[in-house]
Amino acid sequence: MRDRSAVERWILIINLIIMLFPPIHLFFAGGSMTMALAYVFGSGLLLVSSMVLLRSIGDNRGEE
Amino acid sequence: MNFVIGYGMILLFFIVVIYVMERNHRATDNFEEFSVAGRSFGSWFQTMAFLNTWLPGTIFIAFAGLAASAGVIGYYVISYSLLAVLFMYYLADRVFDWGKRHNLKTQSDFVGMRYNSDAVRVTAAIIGVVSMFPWIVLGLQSLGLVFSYLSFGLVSPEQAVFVSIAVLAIRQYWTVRLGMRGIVISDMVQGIIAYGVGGLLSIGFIVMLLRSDHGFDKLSESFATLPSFGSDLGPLYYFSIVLTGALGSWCWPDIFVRLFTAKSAQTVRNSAFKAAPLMFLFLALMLTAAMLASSMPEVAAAPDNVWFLLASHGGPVILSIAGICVLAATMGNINALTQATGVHAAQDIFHVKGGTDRQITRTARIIVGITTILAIIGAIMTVNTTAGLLTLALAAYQGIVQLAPSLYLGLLWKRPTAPAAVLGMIVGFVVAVVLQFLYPVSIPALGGLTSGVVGLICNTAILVGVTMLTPAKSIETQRVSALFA
Repeated sequence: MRDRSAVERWILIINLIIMLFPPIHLFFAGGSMTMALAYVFGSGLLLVSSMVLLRSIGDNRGEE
Repeated sequence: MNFVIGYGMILLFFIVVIYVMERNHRATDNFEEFSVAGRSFGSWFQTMAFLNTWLPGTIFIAFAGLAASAGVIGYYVISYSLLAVLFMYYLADRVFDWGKRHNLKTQSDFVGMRYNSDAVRVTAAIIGVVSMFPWIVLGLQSLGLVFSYLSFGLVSPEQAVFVSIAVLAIRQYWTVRLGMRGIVISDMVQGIIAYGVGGLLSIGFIVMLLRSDHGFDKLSESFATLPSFGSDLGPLYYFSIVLTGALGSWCWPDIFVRLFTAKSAQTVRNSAFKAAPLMFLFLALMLTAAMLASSMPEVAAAPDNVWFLLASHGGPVILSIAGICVLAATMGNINALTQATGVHAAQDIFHVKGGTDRQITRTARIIVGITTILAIIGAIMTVNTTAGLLTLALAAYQGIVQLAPSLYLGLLWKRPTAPAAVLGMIVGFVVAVVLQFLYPVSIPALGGLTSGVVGLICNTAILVGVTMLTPAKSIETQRVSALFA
């Protein structure tokens, strides 16, 4: 794997924690659909935003 | 008339896909062209090929059905799918670089080169081929639902399986003949239809549901929970299914080969940037439509049919378009699975000691044909036993993830050795399959861990333990150091 910067490493770690441990971290929503959807869509949007951030750093704008 | 609309649209779909493939056909017996399309595709083709392989037709059936019957737990597919895309970014450089430098064409080829071992290569290929087969049969059965609904009552679900088998057998002619280039080209068309049109239909379904008093307030409280402490499944169940899905993503041979069909590592990274928002948008819309529909009595009675039941409210044309979405997603997946089976079995099992391009390509084509025939026989034999087959397919998922330690640790760490990798894979696979039959859902005594995760723990422990106890010889250490340089 490429020599990743600290930012790349933290992006991976944070997204893994958020995606893998919702029941333990949040006691998952407790029956509130608003909370549940906020987690589901929020975590997804965070990962999509992470991809945007990864694209903006380093040499990811280069030619194919 | 409705039958003509439904089956007429299926015919039109096939004509369009085959026309596009034929226009881009390149006649060749070159195995690199057959297996990885000459490493020539740009990021949009890569994105659609990944999506069409990753999201099969059963997304509209079993996964939508889970959201319709159990609520937000059905959204777990978003979590692990997005993690798979994130992993694509991190894997891109090293996998593409090693693949191009060593002219690698398959996942087994990749791990075989990393460990400099035919035993690793053959073991990985066998696990891959065995694990993919139930999904091909399941894909054939998924098609049955499409052909049944789109006949508007003229073809029974059982008869529809035979119709779908006949259609797929014809379609496979192009998979055998055109190889990977045909698959990636058709993935573009099929992906736009399955996830583009499917996403638009989902928006329509959500609007329809919200306007007809099937809003979020009608959902049960249990729909907003995940298994936690004190639940039957256990607090680690959700963790297990997301972990297995995410780690398992790049263990599927048909998915991994996507890293080899690109023009460059940058292309792979760019396709990850494109795939993440598209995948998120489509899945969020489709699963939300399915979950909202749970308050409809007919959906509550048959949640797996939610996609078709929703579409039936829009009349025969909308139902036909919805069916084509499922068909397009299933086609991409079945083509990728059969192609990967042929290429892996030919190159990494039958010709593991070598062969000419012409010989390997010919063997791969024959195996794609034989696999299709065996899958057709499997689908006919299990025409009324979908549930059992789904269990086998899920067991296969727990098995395929056992490639993960050898694959990922082999990429990150210089020390793992071939004997450690082979032993880890075999023990992990056996543990996972045995536990899967004893505990098909989760293991309560282990807090809800699944069979695959327990297998992974054993697998990783053996891989690390054997590596530490029997380090590689100095010549092998030098070879691996040069590889990582």
